[in-house]
Amino acid sequence: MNPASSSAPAPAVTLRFRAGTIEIAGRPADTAGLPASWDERSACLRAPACAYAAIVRGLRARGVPYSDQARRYDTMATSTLVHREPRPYQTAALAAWRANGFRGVVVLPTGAGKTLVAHLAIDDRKRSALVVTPTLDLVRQWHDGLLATFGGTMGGNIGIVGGGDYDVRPLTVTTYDSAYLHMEHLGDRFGLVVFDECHHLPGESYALGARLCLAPFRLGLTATPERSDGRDAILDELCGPVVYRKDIVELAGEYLADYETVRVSVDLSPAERAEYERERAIYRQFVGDNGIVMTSPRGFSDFIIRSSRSEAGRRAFAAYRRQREIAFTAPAKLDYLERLLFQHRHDRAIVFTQDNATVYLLSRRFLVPAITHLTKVSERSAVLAGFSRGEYAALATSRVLNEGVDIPEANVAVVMSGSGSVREHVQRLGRILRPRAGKRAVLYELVTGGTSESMTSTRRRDHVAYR
Amino acid sequence: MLTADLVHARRRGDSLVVVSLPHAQRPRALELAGTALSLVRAHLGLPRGALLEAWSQVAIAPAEQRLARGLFKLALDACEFEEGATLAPVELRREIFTAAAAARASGRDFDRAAILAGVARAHGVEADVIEEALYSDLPSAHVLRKADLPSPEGLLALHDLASHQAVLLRAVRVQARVFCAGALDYRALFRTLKFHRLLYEISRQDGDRGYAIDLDGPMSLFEQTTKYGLNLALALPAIMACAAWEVRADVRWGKDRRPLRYHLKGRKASAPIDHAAELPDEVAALLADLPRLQSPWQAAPSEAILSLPGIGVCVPDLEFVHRESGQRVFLEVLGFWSRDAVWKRIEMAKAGLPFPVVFAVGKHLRVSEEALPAEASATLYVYARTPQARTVLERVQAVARR
Repeated sequence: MNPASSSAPAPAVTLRFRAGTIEIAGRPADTAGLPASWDERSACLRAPACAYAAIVRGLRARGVPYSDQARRYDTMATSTLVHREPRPYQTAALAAWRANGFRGVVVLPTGAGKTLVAHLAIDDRKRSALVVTPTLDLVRQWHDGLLATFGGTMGGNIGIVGGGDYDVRPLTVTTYDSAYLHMEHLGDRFGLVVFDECHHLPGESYALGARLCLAPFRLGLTATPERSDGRDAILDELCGPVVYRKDIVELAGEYLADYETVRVSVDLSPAERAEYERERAIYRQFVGDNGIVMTSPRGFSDFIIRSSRSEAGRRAFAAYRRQREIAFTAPAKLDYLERLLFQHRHDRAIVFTQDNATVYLLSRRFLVPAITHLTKVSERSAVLAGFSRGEYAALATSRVLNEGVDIPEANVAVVMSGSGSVREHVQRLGRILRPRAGKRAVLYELVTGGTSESMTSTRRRDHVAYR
Repeated sequence: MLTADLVHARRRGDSLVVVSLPHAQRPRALELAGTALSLVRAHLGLPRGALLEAWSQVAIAPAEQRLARGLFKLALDACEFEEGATLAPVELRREIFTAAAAARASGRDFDRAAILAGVARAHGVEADVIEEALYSDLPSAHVLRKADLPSPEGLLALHDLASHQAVLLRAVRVQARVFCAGALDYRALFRTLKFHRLLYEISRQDGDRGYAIDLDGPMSLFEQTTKYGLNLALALPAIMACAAWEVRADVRWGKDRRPLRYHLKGRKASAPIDHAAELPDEVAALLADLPRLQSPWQAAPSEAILSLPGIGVCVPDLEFVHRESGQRVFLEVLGFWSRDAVWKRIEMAKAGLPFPVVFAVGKHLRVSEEALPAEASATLYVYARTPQARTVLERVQAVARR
């Protein structure tokens, strides 16, 4: 007996969404090739929700009549209130996405207008859409953007799930964390899902969130899809392949601000050099003695584990931290930064560091605002607003402003320290490239010469934007 | 709760074992627990940073590091910190940074001390007070106000429990066998499992050998996920409070998330069973709403377990007793549970339940109220968001007449 019975005779096959999966009730005669498995627990075929589109296509191809009780998303009759003329590359990106069956990743540099591509896609498909972003700041940014473009025409308002809100609407914005938590209940409500900064998506939990959603149309947006762990390969399964790509150098000057990058090498004093070499030798000795390959993917975690097991290890770890600290915050770097802050006192400079401790050190020393993950949202908004208005000519941050947040006024970046990640370095450059009339951006990279930081810098500059 | 890196666990073949503290090391472990607790007490009224700094100075042998860090972590979990500054740091920063930006923009040499002195004068304090208050809202500057600390022995026992819970955080599936002294204890356990929203199936063991409970995740057919690990871990104390218990779990452990089996069993723990275990939110809300309606039915949390051998077990949430006739009707809310669970209840109702039951089923489970025939000893009530008190009473009245 089917508890979801109706008076009309039911087709042989019924699709239902259940807790992030698709149930195929009433086994079709020809199941070969359908991406579903037999579930003994409920005596039906079952598939992860993300296989919904493939199942529907499979049933149609076999001519199997089915009742679709799985999808609960709406088709929207309305379209944009505000029509912004897309740039040629945005039109081309949308066309490429359409040509790939409305699935795929669009790679555009920061400031090139990825958001407009998403708005065009939502308007094109006219289905309930969910936008998934990495942070609550971006949730607010997307919410405001969608509201301005689509107004109240799609269900009255724009929904938000996350940060204490749970308001699901035909157009809803959420975070990757909330998507993971709620998708098993929400996964049938959206026909289109937009993954902003989609290089986050292949993480284990976030990927599960994408699999629990049945949306047949999927758009990924990023400036840098590549991941150091190689998991970017599963983006294809989760939202589609890269369908369109433009790099910074292809758009700089015309659609992005013109820019230059300046690498500044500073020296340690003899006393600092001696301490650096001494501490580095202790650290390297331990690593060598224990056969740890720091450049391997597991190198650093091996070092952490082994260094906790002995006194020598603990000393080696302290030495590792100290030699990094000397390189990252060399007095000559701080002096140079002071000069830059003065030189660019009428500009808008973002100072990037590798860690929060350095952010607060710079903030205290130079009396500039700091933004880290510890900064409360209200203060963060106030600092960014003050920065936009010109009340502050500089702010210090670690990695939280690397991506997404829109600060069009910023025209100077100073990288005091960072990882060897190409993506991070390109994202930091992207922060100052949003175009404005007459704007010319400059990125300074301060590197302590003769330290491991030089090699780190070389690694992260391995991108066309820095050549 | 402990993080995985603080758990002393070993792989043995396909199994994961939490290494118990050897008896000979217990005195030293108690000493470490005592040190951690003393240090926390000594820092009441002082910043977190000072407490962490003091702890980093404690001489701990490398082999003791993990245990010591775990004990300290659990002691910290029992602490309450709050901001201690008299000057509001956010407003102070805005004032200082605005003044600094204006000074720099003027083109004069940047004089940090002069800027701070100017702000200090405006507040009528010394410049070092301003320095101290500048980032007094950072966690390291928060002041320890209160610490609800156990004894050293209590902290060791907490560490033991937290180690097992940390393993269950990585569980994808848990099977438990429990034996309790009485129905009241079972009831408390099942209510706790419900509260933690764990999809589970209960079956009564032959003879009087208690119950077997399967805790599972909906995506397990395709992907082993630790999504429900936190709830599984939180349920462990309730299981361990049974007279005899056994837990078998499939866990994903280590960096490589290797699949391992985990087995744990024991007899009644020292902690008493909490018979006042909390009700799920929707049931608690319903119970609060019911007295506002004039009704001959008196509702209370149910203590019953309705078992039909070979078919299943039903654990009602509420029991309604008619004020005049004394007739009893039960209500079980299946808001979060699976559709399979609803079908199992339908089977039980068709087989004949010993008491009339209203099964309140969330609309998202897509079950029609007509799935149960009108003459059955139970009825289905499909609700949209939360069960409505008035409708529940109507269904209770209706099923009582059958």
